[in-house]
Amino acid sequence: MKQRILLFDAVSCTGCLSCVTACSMAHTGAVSPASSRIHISFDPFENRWPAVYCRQCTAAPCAKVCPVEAIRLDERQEYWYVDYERCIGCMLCIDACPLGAMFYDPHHDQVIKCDTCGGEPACVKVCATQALAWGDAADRSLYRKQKGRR
Amino acid sequence: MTTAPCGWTGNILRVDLTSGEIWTQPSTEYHLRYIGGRGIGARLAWEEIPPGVGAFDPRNPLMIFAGPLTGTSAPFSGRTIIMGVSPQSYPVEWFSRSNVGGHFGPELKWAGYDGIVITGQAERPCYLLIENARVELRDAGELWGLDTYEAQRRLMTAHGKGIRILTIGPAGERLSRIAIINTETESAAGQGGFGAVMGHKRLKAIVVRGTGKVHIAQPELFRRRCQAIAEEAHAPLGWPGPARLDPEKVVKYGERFHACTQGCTVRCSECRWYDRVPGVVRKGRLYSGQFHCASALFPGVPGTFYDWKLGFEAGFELSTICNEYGLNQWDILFGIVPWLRDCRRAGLLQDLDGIPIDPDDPHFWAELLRKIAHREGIGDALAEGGRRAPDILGFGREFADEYYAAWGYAGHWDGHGNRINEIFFPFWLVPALQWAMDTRDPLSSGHGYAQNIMTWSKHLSPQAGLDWDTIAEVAARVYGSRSAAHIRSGYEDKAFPAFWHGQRSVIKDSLLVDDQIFPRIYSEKTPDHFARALDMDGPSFEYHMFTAATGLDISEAEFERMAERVFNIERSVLVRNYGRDRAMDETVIPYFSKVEWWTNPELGERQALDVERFRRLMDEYYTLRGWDPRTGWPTRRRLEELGLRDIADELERIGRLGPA
Repeated sequence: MKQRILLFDAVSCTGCLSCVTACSMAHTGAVSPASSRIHISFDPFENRWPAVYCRQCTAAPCAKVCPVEAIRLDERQEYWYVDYERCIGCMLCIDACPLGAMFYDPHHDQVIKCDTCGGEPACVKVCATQALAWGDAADRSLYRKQKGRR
Repeated sequence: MTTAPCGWTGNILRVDLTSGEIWTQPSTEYHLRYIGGRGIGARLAWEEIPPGVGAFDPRNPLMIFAGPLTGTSAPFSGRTIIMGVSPQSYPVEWFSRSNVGGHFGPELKWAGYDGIVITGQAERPCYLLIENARVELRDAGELWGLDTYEAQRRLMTAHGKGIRILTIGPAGERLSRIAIINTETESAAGQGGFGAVMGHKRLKAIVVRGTGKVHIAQPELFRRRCQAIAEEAHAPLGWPGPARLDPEKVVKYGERFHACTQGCTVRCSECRWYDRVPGVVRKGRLYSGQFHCASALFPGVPGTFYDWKLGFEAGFELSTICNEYGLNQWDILFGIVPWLRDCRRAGLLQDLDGIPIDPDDPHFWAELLRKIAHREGIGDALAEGGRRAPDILGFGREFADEYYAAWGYAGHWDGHGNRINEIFFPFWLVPALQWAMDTRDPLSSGHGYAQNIMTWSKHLSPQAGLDWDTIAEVAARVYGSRSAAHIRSGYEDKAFPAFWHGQRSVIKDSLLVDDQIFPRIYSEKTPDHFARALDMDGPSFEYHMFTAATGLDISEAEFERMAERVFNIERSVLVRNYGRDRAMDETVIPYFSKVEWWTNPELGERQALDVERFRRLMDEYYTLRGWDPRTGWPTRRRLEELGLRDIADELERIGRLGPA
């Protein structure tokens, strides 16, 4: 059972996109939104924007649909990750995700998703307004923040 | 380890609108010598803009550049610089620059380009569409005439929400010398009139989508440095300082802090968003968008020189209308409207083609903006900018002289015509030198001396500010003496700060990083109040990010020499193409010779410039720069020290090389 979960507060997000560049850096050592596991649906004519990232579903549809069981829970049974040894690149997982939080990274020719950086998310470290937080998964009141209160 | 370039992409996109040709040019050699951004633009100007090319000549190259830190995870790194021969420049249209925030620059880097150079003129309105390696010119017939917001919306509908856009509005299409290039709602290349350069080229917009990447030479070192720098920049003082939302506006209009550019990691007081603010002029309309910086003058600021009574709602509406038309807010707020007010009070002008001049009436403002944007009636003269309009109309020049510091630009941190940036003698001596030596308002990427000293002081920040002695001590670490920034120091040691901040300005405009934040000098976090993070001194932050990103093994002195090189190339372009010399530099003197607006509390009396002492400061400045003090021309010795022998040879050939 996961202890913590990545939470996003749209009211605090300023649209700086530091989370996107930090994620790419942390995973690949280079900066490309195409390699980022978190996306901000920035729109210059909107006040707030949704963040799209894996919410670590309890019964993950991506894992279910994968024909080779490449999407698996980590050893602590907390977070879903992609086992690239098994992945065949069919990308059914991209279709299956209800959030659109499974992405294709053309620079590494593989599907990518948030893996929480082993429990120390890089995006949370750089978010200067605490729009991204590493929160207590058991505190259900935090889930309200996902929608962004007015 | 990668063999691809780190920081920069290695490619400059070239477009000729006359022939329709599109190609790329390698950029690496330019980056190695000139850093990027502004530095590359300067060198290209030397190489490609001959004397005689004015702002509305198809040969005028419109340059849009990112830098080696753009599109990386560096904090405050989302800005882009636009360069070319500037319509707003006065009295000569010369090579100059303007920066823009938003998210365009990083996307351009991810598309695979360090910059774009656009020459020529299209036969019909077009827009440039860049999607990684695929670059096309598309017909803009349906977009021409649209305001900057509507044009962007249409382009996003056509090409998807993930694109980033630079666009002009009606003002640029009609070649107003104060036309902006806009992105999003309120990030713009606001000064310089570059919107008219795009308009003249019949280029409505530039659209970019990039899915590529920027390589980083030392990712972990870069990450650590950037994190530490971002944290250090969170200061309760300086600029932008502490920022609080207005609880009433939060409820009414959803007021929130927005980042005005990618990578901005502070809650900047300069940049807020408002939702559905009701129109006062156009009743029934609801306005949403960002509200930055100078826009805060639109509502009127009680107790200041800009005390018209419009109120927030009307002010926000007018700011939005100004952005939609694509007009320069600074020129209107700090130049044109104060000028019109003076003309009315002096009986020189009562109305704008029948509309009474009344800055307390939002309808006056709306008509003013509309007339300027469409060059209607008196708007045709005002569209030439507030510096030129009195010459055209034949009256009111003496009032424009109050507000326009130099080069066609209304004042900024100058202590005289700009009456919102509180600064007093001796501190405006450094801005005076910065103004004297530039092609435009120098403070927009040269805030570091004047704004830091004033906003870190107890005078403007009574609760937590630093006393004058502390400021002078900290400043001494950078400028070499306490007298450079002491409240009772008068003319002592004011040349070096102007020289040094000239370098910093080039560095910021070449990387690019935000000018309000860098250079980091003062701190509330350290015992001696000098900014530091990890093993880095504050003023060295830019250098450390640059080397970790690019992998270049150069010393900080060499990095600063690159900036000095760029500054000298710019000066050489001015000398060769436009006859820039000391006499021209000295044209700022009358403006500063008026009595200042505020009073130094320790002197008790308002000061004006002592012309002879200022001339001696100019001598010192020229000597620091390695320019001949008599002519203001660069010398062979300094140019060759900087590896610019070809420039020295050319200046000598035309008889404009400084002796010795």
